[in-house]
Amino acid sequence: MRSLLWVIAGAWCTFAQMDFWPEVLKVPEQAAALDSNRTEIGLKQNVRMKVYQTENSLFISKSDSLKKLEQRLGYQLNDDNSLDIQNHFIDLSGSFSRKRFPFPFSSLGLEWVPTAAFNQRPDGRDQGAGRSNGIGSLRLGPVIGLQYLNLPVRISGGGAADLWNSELPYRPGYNDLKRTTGDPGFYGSLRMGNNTMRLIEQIPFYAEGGIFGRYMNSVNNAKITNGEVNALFFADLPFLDTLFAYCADTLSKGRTAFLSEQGGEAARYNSTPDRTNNSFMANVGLKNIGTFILKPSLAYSLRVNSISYVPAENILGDERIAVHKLAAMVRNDRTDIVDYNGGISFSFEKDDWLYNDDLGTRADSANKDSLVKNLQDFDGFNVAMIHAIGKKFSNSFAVDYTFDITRYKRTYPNYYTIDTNARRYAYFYDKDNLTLNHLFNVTFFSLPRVRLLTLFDYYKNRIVYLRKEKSGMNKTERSMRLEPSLRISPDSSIGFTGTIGALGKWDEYHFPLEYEQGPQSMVRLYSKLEAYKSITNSLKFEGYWSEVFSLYGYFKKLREDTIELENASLESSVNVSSSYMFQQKIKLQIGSLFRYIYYEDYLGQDITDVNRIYYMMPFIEVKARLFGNLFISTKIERYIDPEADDFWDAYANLNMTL
Amino acid sequence: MKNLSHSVTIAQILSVALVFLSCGLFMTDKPEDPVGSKIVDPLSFKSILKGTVEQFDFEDYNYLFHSDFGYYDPINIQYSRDRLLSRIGIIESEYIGDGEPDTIKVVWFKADTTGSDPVWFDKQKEITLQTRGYFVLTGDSLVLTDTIASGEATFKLRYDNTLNNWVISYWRDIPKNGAIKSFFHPEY
Repeated sequence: MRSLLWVIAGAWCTFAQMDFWPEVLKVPEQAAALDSNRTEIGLKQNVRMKVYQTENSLFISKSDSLKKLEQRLGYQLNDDNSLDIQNHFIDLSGSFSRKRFPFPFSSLGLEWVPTAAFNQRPDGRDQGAGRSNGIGSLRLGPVIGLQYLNLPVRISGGGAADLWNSELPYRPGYNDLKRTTGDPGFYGSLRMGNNTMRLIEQIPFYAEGGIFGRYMNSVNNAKITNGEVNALFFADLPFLDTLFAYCADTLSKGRTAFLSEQGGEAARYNSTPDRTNNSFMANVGLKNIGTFILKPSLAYSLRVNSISYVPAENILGDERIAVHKLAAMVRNDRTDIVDYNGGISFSFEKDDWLYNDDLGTRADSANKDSLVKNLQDFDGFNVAMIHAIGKKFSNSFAVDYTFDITRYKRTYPNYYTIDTNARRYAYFYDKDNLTLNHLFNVTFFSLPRVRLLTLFDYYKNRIVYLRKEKSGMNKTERSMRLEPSLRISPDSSIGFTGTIGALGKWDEYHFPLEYEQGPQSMVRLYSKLEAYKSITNSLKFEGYWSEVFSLYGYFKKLREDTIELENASLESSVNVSSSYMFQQKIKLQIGSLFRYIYYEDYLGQDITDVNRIYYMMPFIEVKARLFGNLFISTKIERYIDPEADDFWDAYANLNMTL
Repeated sequence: MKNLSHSVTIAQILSVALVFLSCGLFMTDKPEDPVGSKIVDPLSFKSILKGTVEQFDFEDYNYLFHSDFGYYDPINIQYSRDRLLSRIGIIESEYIGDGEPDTIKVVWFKADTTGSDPVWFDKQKEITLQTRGYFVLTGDSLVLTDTIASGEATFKLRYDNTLNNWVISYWRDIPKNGAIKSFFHPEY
């Protein structure tokens, strides 16, 4: 439970620093300049029982005053021996350019983007289903670079081709690979700007954008155009710390081709539906308004996402979601008597399906599917507030308190009727949800050899379905937790941490007559004792002992406070291990987990069933850091159970970056 | 400059007031009184665990599907819990509710009778169930005989320590007719 304590403490720290300020409204960090002559190597190997995954890359960049060459070699493999399948992917993309040619401000060169995927499948499936298949793609063409002040421009274009074979044997030979089907085409790309560098040094304005198109000549008519642009401006203003403004838009139009495997059938060259996907975002914010004790900030954001399909696709999937969000935040200086930050935010959502169509409410055979889909339209309203107060005293006593509350309401306004049928068909999940949380953290003292802290939290979740079809399920959930923790470390070689806790959860039905039995409740008591002892700088023993006692039940009858027990359990765990560190580089750890679970089912006062589960998991683990950036981690453990089947679990990871 | 300073002060006060004077916003609306029988599991998801040592315990689909839940169609395109729940809501609005008897029934069964589910469910691990088959039956309120959909599903379960219940974390849905979109598909 100590780990749980730290998870909660970590969440608390994150929460205490949380505000409603949009993530995109910040001064960009200029990317570190990379050496134009460099070699990057990345190796990732992961083995777990019958599954092997690898991801490797080699990137070489060579440059001098006249020319620049970049070449990438990437290889990925997913090998699942339990299913006898392998997925391979290779990327050999690169480019070459002549600098300051033909003009001092331009470059000219060639780019190549060859990729290949091979999916190995076992033979012998019915009717050729599940046959091995592969696809190769190539883009090849000239590339032009231009640089005007801080505005980089990159233009490229040329030929494109897909080659595929969906009927390959398990182990294809050269002749198999020659029997491919081709799909030629062309591509073009334009990219401008840099969103980490000012376009003009004196003006804090950053912008980047581009457009890419790939147009294939296949029966699938795969033609896709993607474009995106984003821009950020900020300025220091009188009596205002900073004004930010950010805008971004992305657009994808058309369809892309790919080799797909559908439900165990043979692979085939397929394409996505022809669609337009657009995403727009705008943000504006004023940060730290004024110079007084409390520093308010204000932010507004708008996000609109939409997708629409061409009519010929006959897909009822057009959808547009718009979200407006307004947030106000306040914080004080860290030097004040107490630390405080808080804020409130309002969000208004609108989800509109089939937004291009004007649909009525009367259904017939021609429009019923559209009206059914249109039931998913919703209006959402979200309001959230947080207050976090903290105080640290000089004698290491510290108190923190956070209160947060969120309400989210969603309503589905649409309905339809069928001719003479008076019934109104609607989506009856209209919901109003309110959650609040009080969290106290008290550090009584925190000294080098001893530390005592405790947390207390209270949580409430009120679930209200607004329509009569669902309102019978309305309820309020509550929970309360108290968890003190004491750490003692007489010297650096030995330490103990003890944690005890109590957790209670109980529900309350808003319409109890709808239920045959009362709402659920739960009580949990838990403890954990962790200890470690270092014998030498290299040899260490560590372990923990934990006990978790749980009771579940429900209120026996309506409006009575008696609780009917459903089940009770006691879970005991002991984990002991010893570790040895070789030359501060290789850590060998050997140990075992022992677990015993006792479980009783109840009916009334009577025990109806008793379960006892024992198991142990001995393990050996090795972790090593070699040659600076080469990490190796491997673990083998055996699950041993007196009743269920025993099994091995093993994994190995290798990561290297240079 | 004086006016600007004055405006900024007002903006500060308004911002602070906005933070503290917001209590009336945090109250839920009054719901309609419930009518008819309480609708909890019209699509019979609880019967998926029939014959195992465990059971689902939920009144709301948010307590049946994990927050990181993924629905996968035959070509392994993933859909979130919200997308699936939207589809389930549509099914419910069409076949149940408004105080009328249900006109839909889903029958879940073990598709592979040679295998078996785990003897006991280890709460520390994700559990994969044996493949389940299903039929979706509709008709009038008394006789549900029209099979409008069928398929096979692979479910993975996780134990949610917060809810103290088993929840579905993964559902791969393969309709019988070879189509991509099954009856439960979010884009059906």
